[in-house]
Amino acid sequence: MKAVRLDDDEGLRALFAEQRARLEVVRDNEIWQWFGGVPSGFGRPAAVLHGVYLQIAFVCLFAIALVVAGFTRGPGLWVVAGLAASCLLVRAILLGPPTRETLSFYRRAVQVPGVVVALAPAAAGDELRSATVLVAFGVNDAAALEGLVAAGDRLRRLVEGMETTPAALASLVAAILRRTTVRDHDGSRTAVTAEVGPGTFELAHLRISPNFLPEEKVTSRLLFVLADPERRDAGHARVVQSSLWGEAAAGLCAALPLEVAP
Amino acid sequence: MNLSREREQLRALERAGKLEKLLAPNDDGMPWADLCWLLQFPAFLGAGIHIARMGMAAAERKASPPDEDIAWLVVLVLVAAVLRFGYPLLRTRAQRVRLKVRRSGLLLPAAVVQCNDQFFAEGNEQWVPGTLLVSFDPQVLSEPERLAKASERLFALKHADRRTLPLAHAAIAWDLYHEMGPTRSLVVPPELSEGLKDCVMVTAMLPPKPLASGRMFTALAVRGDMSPEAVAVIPAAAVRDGQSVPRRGAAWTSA
Repeated sequence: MKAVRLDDDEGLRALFAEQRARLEVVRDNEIWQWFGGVPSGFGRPAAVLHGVYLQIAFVCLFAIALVVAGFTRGPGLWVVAGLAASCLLVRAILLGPPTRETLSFYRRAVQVPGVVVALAPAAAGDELRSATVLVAFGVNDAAALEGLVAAGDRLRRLVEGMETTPAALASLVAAILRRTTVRDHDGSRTAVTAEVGPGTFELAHLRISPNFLPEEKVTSRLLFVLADPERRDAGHARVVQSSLWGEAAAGLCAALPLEVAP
Repeated sequence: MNLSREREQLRALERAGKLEKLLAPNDDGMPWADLCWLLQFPAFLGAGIHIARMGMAAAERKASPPDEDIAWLVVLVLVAAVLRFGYPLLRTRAQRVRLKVRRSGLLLPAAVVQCNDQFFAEGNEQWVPGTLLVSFDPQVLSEPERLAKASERLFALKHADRRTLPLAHAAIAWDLYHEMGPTRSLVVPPELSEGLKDCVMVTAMLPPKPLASGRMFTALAVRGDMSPEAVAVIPAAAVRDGQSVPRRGAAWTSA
């Protein structure tokens, strides 16, 4: 399937089915690099590098302990051996929980469409873009996608001050603006009130890697997000790379351009 | 097509420990099995030092070494022996399969079904992913063109309407369409394999200059293992006088 229109019910169903099938390919073959690798998005990003340092330290200390064991069975040996063991322990503590969390996120997450509501200006020296995105679970046809796009567009107009914000949405709009100003986008999601849309709508606060987008920059209001339906806390929503969006998604995104203020 | 000379050369390379470096790079990082193998040397050194010290002390005292020194020596030798002989246990499944491919894999012709466009780029020096068709049928060595034909039939499925295809064909079409990998190999049904038996479609990394014979690449493959590590395409540099492939525009097609 090469192209699909926003009002093409059957085409959209096929696209969403293709997206689900692509996720299953990744899961069945455990090719997690297509989701961003393991661990990813939980704990400190430098943990993987520190894990390598700790592995090297363990090998060096264990080698020293083995040689020292030829000279003594005294405390010197046990201090070095203890340090070697602690390197392994710290490595396991550093990498174990984020690895488990990443894998359980990858196994549970679903791909959902999202509409960009607020995009923080690009920061110098930071490749990633911070954005608040209205996402919806269970979108499977043209009506639901059009509803999401309309709700997202309306919210964006409110955030940009192009429309007067109703009192019921004032706090939500203020919260989005606050997050955008301080770039507080950690992969978490927040619920939205019924004034924005149905209960399946949520706001995702994302850091977007340009490499994951079809044109390697944010040019469309529409993007696709990997989101954990069971958890909304930090790291449980992230933009999924465009090769998992399905071929027809590129045309769909092109039909919904994002006009970014200069 | 006779690949026995090439297989012998690859065996010699494997015995010399050089074949692994010539095959597709892997993302193993620092494998625990290799680190464990390295640690045997300080372990034996430690045991040697202990023996020397024990011997000197015994000579000084003109008595046999105390029991606790002998027990400690046993512990050190045991640790060294565990590291020396136990390191293969720390190999991951992928490492074990790759080792099996190098040591006992069959050298077979492999036809390209599709591959990354980068492969054809002028001056390409990168390994790129591709989908290949291999057959374990001995017939393929005498009639390799049947494999090339079969690979073209498979590629033709890529953009077919999968809803109209039989299940096995649709699985192949989907694997070619989604272009994600590495994925498990798929058995190719006989009606698509030009009468060749034991055909599998595999995802593998292609070297910039693969060893080629006519339109075929050459790959080491393990029969019956459907993991993507079970096939390794051989670079031309791995064998003496190895010929590489003609570039785009030659007789074979790409994705």
